[in-house]
Amino acid sequence: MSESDDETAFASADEGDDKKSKDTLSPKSKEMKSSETEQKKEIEKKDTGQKQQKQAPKNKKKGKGSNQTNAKEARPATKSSPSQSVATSPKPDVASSSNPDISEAKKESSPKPVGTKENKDLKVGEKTVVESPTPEESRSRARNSLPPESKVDPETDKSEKTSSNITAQKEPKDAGASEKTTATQVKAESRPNTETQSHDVVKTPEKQDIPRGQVDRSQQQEQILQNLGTTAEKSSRGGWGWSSWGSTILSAATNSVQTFTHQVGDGLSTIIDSVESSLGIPDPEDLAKDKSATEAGQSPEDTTSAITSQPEETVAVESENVKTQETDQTIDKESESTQEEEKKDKNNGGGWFSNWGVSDLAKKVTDTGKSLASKGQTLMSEGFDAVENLAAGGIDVLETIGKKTYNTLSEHDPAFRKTRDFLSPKSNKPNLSSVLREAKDRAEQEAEKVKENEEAMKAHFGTLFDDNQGLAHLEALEMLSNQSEKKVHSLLNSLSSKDLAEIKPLLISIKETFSVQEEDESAADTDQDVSGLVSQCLAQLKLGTASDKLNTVLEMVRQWIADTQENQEKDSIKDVHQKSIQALAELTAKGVEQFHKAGELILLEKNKENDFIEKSQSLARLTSVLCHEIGNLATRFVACLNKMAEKQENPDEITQFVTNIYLEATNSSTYIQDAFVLLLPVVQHAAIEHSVLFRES
Amino acid sequence: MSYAYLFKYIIIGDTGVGKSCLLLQFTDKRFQPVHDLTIGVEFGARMITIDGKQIKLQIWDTAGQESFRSITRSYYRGAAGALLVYDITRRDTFNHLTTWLEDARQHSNSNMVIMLIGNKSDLEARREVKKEEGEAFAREHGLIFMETSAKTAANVEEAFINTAKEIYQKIQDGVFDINNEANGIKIGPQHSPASQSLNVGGSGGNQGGNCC
Repeated sequence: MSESDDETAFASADEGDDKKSKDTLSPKSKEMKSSETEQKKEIEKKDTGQKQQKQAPKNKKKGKGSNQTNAKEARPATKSSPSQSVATSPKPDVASSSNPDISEAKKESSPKPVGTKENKDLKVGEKTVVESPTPEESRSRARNSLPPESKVDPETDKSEKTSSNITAQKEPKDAGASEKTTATQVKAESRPNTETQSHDVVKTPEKQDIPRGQVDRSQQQEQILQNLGTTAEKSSRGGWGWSSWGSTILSAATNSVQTFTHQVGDGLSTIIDSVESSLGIPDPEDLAKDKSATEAGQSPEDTTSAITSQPEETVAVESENVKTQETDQTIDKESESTQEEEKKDKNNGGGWFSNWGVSDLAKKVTDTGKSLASKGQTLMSEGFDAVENLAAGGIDVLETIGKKTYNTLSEHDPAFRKTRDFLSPKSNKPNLSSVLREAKDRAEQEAEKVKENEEAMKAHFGTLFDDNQGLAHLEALEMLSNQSEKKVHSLLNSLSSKDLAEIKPLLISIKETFSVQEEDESAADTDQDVSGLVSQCLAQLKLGTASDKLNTVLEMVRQWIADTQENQEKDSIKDVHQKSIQALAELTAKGVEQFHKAGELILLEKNKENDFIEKSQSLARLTSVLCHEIGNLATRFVACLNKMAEKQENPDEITQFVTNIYLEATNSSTYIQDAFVLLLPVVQHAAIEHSVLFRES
Repeated sequence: MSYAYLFKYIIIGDTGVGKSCLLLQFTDKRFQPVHDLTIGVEFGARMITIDGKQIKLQIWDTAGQESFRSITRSYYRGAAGALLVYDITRRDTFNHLTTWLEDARQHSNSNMVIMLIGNKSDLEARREVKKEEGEAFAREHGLIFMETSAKTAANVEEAFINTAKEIYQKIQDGVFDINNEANGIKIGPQHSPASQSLNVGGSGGNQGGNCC
């Protein structure tokens, strides 16, 4: 019994190593270089594993869609006929040349030729299996060919189809073997793994194996296993390094990743516990129970880490390991391999999850494609190492691994919604608060700006000018002017040449009046009676409009200046500046309005004694008076400011205010002069209409 | 102080129907029994809020006298809305509506919103024009209709604001090209949201950079 145990243990180790070699990274390969025997052995192991894998895909094909368990079993295996052929050829050489263990593994199975034969036989067996349409059939077929097994299966009952499925993986092999008596022993090697109860078959290999196997394995194999263990640790360290890298970058991610890994670790340990409890129990019924228990352990695992499909893959891998372990009865080796597997899986999970966490947080889980690709890459790189180790691996393995990973991931977590749901709230939280904080700051800044704007508005000439309807009047005057200009053109065109000649001198003199900007300073004494002059000008226009508005403003402004001079103690520089701008704006607005009204009235007046040249001159004088008055006001306000500045600690402070007052005074004058110029077409229009109207009469 | 839009209104109608009083009631919330004759055009302005947006109404109150007609016509251009006012106590002011309407339609843009207003509704005893007549006229010519009283302020606000709502709706519907100032609509000075969007984008970008 113990001998057969050794064999089976070896076989299980082979299986474990096979998977391991796929998963482990560069450290492993380095390790392998150190010991050639190990390397060769590994290759050997892979070959053994691949034999099994060969068959797995067939099962998968058959069971596709029909049985979830089948699919799971099939997943870990990489199949592919090319790799198989490659695997078979080098294996015998290596085995025979240097490694006694390998030859032992090949063991009792007669020479190499027989081994290749076996392979061929296996292929045949597979093909026949393939032909059978359903997994059930293949299973039943396997049972038929192997009586001992078929005995066991009925015992375990139909409800344990899952366990029988697992056996079915290897049964085809057995089926092929059973046909050939020479190969039976070799097959038996694998069969005992699944069926410890089949005594007949088991005994044969045991007897043959005992002498050599015991000694060699106890020394070398243990060493190998140790090496593998350290390798696993190393690689697992690499995996943890990933997660810690992620955590240093994103503290937010750390928690989720760690939680993740812990969950996975817990799930794995649960499984391992159940596995270990099953050790040493040869009874098939117990075995079956354990298997079902393992199955039960798998489902919680699935739910706990339902976030991704990764755990399910792990489980799938695990389930194979479990199967292997069950058959393995050497407890030491069993536990070692279990440790290895645990580490490996953790490493796997850790690396993957940290990858996921990082990429998901980075992209806020929007870029599914990229994260998927990165996952694929991780798997690919692992697969790549596996292939390198295989030495004969080939691209097919890589391809299959990639495809399977992609399918598994997208199948169980479409668009990675679960992952997103799990990670996004945590990653969003700091964002939301920071966004809110930013919004608050912004609101405060804007409120400040509004305050400043309101302050500035009080001393803003344009705004004040608009508030006093200066802009509206200017706009209306412009419209009036444009209309009159059109009328002038159409009237001139309609006039006969004689009438045109008559009116031309008048129009020209009006134009001259408007174009000549009076610059006789004499008319603008600094202390002129502005109100009188304005009234005089308006009276000359003979429009009957009261100069109330203009004079009211002038009066008001004068009062302001007087007040300012008296109350220099009370008013701040800012107040004075504000008042000066306000005065300028208001006066300008009223001036523009006056021009606008004058234009309207000139157009309306149908008086025979109208003298348009006189009106033009009056308007020109009014413009001049207003402009001078504006300049005067500015000077007086500035004088006030200067007086105040003498008492101030910082006299330079008023400079900007003084500049601003002079600037706006210039602005005011410009507005007044613009309004005046706009009246030219209006007066011309009125003059032409007047001449037309009164010539006829 | 700042506004999203500026709408230009004109108030038209026979002399003495209460155009200037309507404006005064709307802008200053007061009533002046005796009002000077308007020369040419006068102006008023007020801010209102529609759909959460500040809108400045700039109202051109035209002279109703026949002699000013030639001048006031030139002010129709570039108005987004018009208040066509008649006096319910004077049938002749109602009879002149067609002429005013033709004038308005001819000298303004076709999309201009016109509100027909029967003013002096407080003088019910002296009413010469039934409300139904006003409604019928408005329906016939596609106008909005309201009876108001500048004295009691009844419906005055509503008249101005409903017109603004109609204009706003036309902007939303894309009837008015707000970039063409000939339509009587100007876009007010507004804060640009550029800095805001920049901040948000920046914080998101930082996070992404770390992870990758």
